[in-house]
Amino acid sequence: MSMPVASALTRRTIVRCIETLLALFVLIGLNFVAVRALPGDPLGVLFADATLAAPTGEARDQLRQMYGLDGGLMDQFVRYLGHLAEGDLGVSAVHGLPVLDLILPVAPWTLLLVGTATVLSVLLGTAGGIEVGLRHGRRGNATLLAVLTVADSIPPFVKAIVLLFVFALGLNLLPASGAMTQFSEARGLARLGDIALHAVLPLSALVLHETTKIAYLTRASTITVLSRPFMTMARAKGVSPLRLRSAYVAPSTLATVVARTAALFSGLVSGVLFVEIVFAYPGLGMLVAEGITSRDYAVVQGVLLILGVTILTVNLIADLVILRLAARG
Amino acid sequence: METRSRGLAVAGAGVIIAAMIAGMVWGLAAPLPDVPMAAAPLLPPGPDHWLGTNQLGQDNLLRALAATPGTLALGLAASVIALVLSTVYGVLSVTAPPVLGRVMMRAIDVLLALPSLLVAMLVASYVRPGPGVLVLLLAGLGWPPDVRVVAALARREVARDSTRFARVFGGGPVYLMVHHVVPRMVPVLIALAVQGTRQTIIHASALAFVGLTDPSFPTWGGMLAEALPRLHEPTAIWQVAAPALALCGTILALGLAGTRLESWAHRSLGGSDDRG
Amino acid sequence: MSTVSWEQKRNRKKLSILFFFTAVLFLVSVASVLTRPAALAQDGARVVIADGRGNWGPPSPYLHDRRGPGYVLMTFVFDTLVWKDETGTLIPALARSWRADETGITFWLDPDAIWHDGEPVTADDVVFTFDYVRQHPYQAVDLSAVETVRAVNPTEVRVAFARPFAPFMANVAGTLPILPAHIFGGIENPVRFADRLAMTGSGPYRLKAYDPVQGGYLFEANADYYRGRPTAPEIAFVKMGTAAALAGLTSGTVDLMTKVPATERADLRAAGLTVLSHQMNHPVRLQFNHRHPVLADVRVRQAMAHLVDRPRLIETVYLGEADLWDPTGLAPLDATAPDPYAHDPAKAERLLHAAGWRRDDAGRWRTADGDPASLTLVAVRNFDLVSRMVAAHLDAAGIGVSVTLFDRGGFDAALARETFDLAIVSFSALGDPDVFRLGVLEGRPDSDRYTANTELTRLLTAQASEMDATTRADMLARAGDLYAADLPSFSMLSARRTVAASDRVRPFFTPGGVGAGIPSTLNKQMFLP
Repeated sequence: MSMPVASALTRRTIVRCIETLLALFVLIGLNFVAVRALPGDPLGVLFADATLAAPTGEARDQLRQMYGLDGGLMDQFVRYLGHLAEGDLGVSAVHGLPVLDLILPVAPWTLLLVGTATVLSVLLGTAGGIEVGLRHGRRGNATLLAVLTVADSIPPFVKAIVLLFVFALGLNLLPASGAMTQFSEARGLARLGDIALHAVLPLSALVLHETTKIAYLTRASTITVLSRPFMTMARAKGVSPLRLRSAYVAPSTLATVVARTAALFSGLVSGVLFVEIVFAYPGLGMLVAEGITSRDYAVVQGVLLILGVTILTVNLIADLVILRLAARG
Repeated sequence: METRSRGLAVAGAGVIIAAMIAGMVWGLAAPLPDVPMAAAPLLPPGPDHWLGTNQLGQDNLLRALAATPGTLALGLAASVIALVLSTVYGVLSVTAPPVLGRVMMRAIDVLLALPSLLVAMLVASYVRPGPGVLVLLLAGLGWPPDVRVVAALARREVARDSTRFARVFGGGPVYLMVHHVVPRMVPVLIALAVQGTRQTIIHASALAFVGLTDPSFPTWGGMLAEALPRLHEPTAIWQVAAPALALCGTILALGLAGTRLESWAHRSLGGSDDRG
Repeated sequence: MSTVSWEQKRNRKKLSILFFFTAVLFLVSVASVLTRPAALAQDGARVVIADGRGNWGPPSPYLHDRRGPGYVLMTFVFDTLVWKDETGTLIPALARSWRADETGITFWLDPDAIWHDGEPVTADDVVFTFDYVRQHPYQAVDLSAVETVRAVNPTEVRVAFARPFAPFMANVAGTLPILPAHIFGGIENPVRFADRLAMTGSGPYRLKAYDPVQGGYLFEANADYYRGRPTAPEIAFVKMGTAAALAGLTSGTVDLMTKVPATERADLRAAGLTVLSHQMNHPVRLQFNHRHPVLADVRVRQAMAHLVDRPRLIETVYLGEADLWDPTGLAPLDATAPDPYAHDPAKAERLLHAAGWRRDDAGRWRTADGDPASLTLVAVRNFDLVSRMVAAHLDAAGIGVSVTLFDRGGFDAALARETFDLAIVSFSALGDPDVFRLGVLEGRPDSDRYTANTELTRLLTAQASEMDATTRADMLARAGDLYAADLPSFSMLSARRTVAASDRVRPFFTPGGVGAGIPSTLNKQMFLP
């Protein structure tokens, strides 16, 4: 009896893995082609602001070779694939450092924001959505719903700007930029506190955004659960409110939330880009934004590739876990 | 009864499409001239300028309003194009032989796995799109999500008795699509179009905020990006308020309209879809 | 009943998996942030410089950001042969003395000069640098006029010229950072040489820490510096937002702020801080594509210049922090002299009529050929506000202008394609006036490429080889007058920059600019005894 189930599971697992690989390939290809199909010359960007003569002729060719921008499209692509296989994401034309060396010190900050935001938005969104759902039909519910709807209509960068303006610049409660005080001595708890202080506003902007979405979903599934027999029985039994929420309602809504995890993570990674720009938070978002303005091919390619791969991997793992549970359950 | 409500649906769709086309043409082809730069720079709100002026002496409220037709047109155009693409693809994947249909849906899964905003940023950073190319870019990234909904609906319509009869009586796939499947999906398509517009406007303003769109085309996201470096000044809030209110208001309005349309679509299709 | 609890169990499993997953993610992220390299001690004697951008690339000649501040920070670590002091005069740096003659210049090096790793700086290093830079072009330095460089003995270098080159002392000897031969020798690709060793210079400061992520540098004083121990033991150059930096200035945690909004000047002066305002010498020019028939007539160009309301531009786009520029190209407009291109719509009208343009019934201009006057204007994104206002001014007068903005690379490509009518360009006019020649003839992507006036071309080419200062100045003045009359591009205005400092540092504006002509107050001289 278990054999057909196992083979079905294996088949689905393999299919999901292949899909992810295909998506990865599309991403890499897109990454590369889009970059090269540009008007404008990266050399022009690098030297346009020079206070004296911009290089011409022979000097330009030399510099082009130095920065790895020579050769036909196919040559560049083959070389690019080769480098990727070695883990070499190229060298930033602006910073002069290998792209990986630029990404590694920066990635933990983004990871901090996204990781913490995931936890917080799942917790807050689920709890909040359940509350609103349980209050379905009662007074005050309409206001809550209205607030949710309005909050959902505010794009993440607008939320970030408002938070920056009110809390950092207006009330002067929290730092307006950066991840921690530079070259500071603080160690241990003091340092953690410094980092946390700088992370509060960007985190809030991120969390606010995804929380409303999850709250909506949780609310909807809470409402459908409300009328189910086991709920009426639980209420009749006089189960405590906390137990009602955690043991009876929450598990039923988690299915929806888990299904949304992929989109949640994707949404957070996209959102963190804007939040970092607004708060000058030194993460991958800032790196990409700078790379975009300075047409630093390697950096933009590298960062977006890393982000895309991360999203694909996370989604794949989540899906495989769900598949595994579904097969066993 | 069904015929009348379907007739109403088609008529409603026609009106909306006409409005869209008019808006698109007006918004994209005849951009409004730049708001006059006559006032003193960076004024706080007053009787002459309800939301103050920006650095060039332009009225902030007028600037936000001036960005409206272009933004709406862009959103509508992109979402309509995306919808057409996803409808055709969805119906094709349903009417095609089963193996091909499954492959097509798998391809959609692959495309869905890609984070669309990131890909949009990637492409936009290299093309720096003006309004026309932006429409194509956003449409190109926005069509995969709708395919699932369209395919599910199409499957239901194709399984209907009336469609089966038409096939038995010699209707080809194109005929079936045009006369049987698609007209019944119109209410849902309209709801999807409105939601798509909302999503596109959010993406477009995000791209404009990062500075990836052509700044000569006025957008709310662009106005917010302009205000960002000057946030430490006291008048900054007015530079932020105008585009922020306009943007959020539009998204909210479209969201509400979308929800209403969704319930109407479900009702006109006969019953709720809770047991999906 | 059992089915329900089984479903609940499954859901609880999903719940716990989800929480586990996200908790792991959270912990990993916190751990990764905490295990970052050790922070550095804070010192009361540290000088803190707040900058809006913070990261200008590693302070090494081939790695720093091409723009001014990147070069200036690099000079804290690397010395040149000569340098400029507060008056703009060239003073000894690595070269203790020098003598010029008909065929070249001889430099005698300071025997006390050493590299940060203890090796002495010798003539071989200088010869190596010149050869290396010839093979691996360094952005700011033009070595085309140098024929040979030879080490006569370990402290004497002889540079021989192929042709007289007036800008040599300022633009080469005072700009080219000398590289250590024992480190850079054998480095095939200096752009990829990002090792710590690449930061080995002979300058007054060593790089102690560099944070490209948050934007910041920590320099420590080189106690064995050959010109004396620097006054500040440590310098921290960090990225700070405007609000935070202003607060730091008044509270004493920030010693120098590189870009202060003009509106804050009064408050800062009241708080007892030094506030310096200097001209950036970076004129913004309205370039006319004189190759297009519509702008080929000089009267049309002059008319457009009269249509631009420059005082209004200064009032709005620059909020008053800019000066009108002299159309001759190299200096701000003398306040006492009349403005040759004042905002004068009536005069513009007369000029356009003289050129054969006519107004149609709607009040819009038509060119001499009868076509409606409709021009395209291209600019870099930074000049968004300027281009919009210039377009508005021309449009108000009846000439249609459509603006297209690019960023750097696209802009240079647009200029190369020559499909534009108008362009907003800007580059530094500070330093050696040879920059004028580059701007008018060729050598930059945004050069005017204007060769229609043979006398102008002759003067510009000749001045670069003219060694006599007075004759050269005269040639440049005449070239300037011709340029202002022909107006291939109209120099409109140039921004001012305000800098604020506490009493622990004494910044000054270097006349002629740091190095080749960078308008910066960060001259390392302020930290030397």
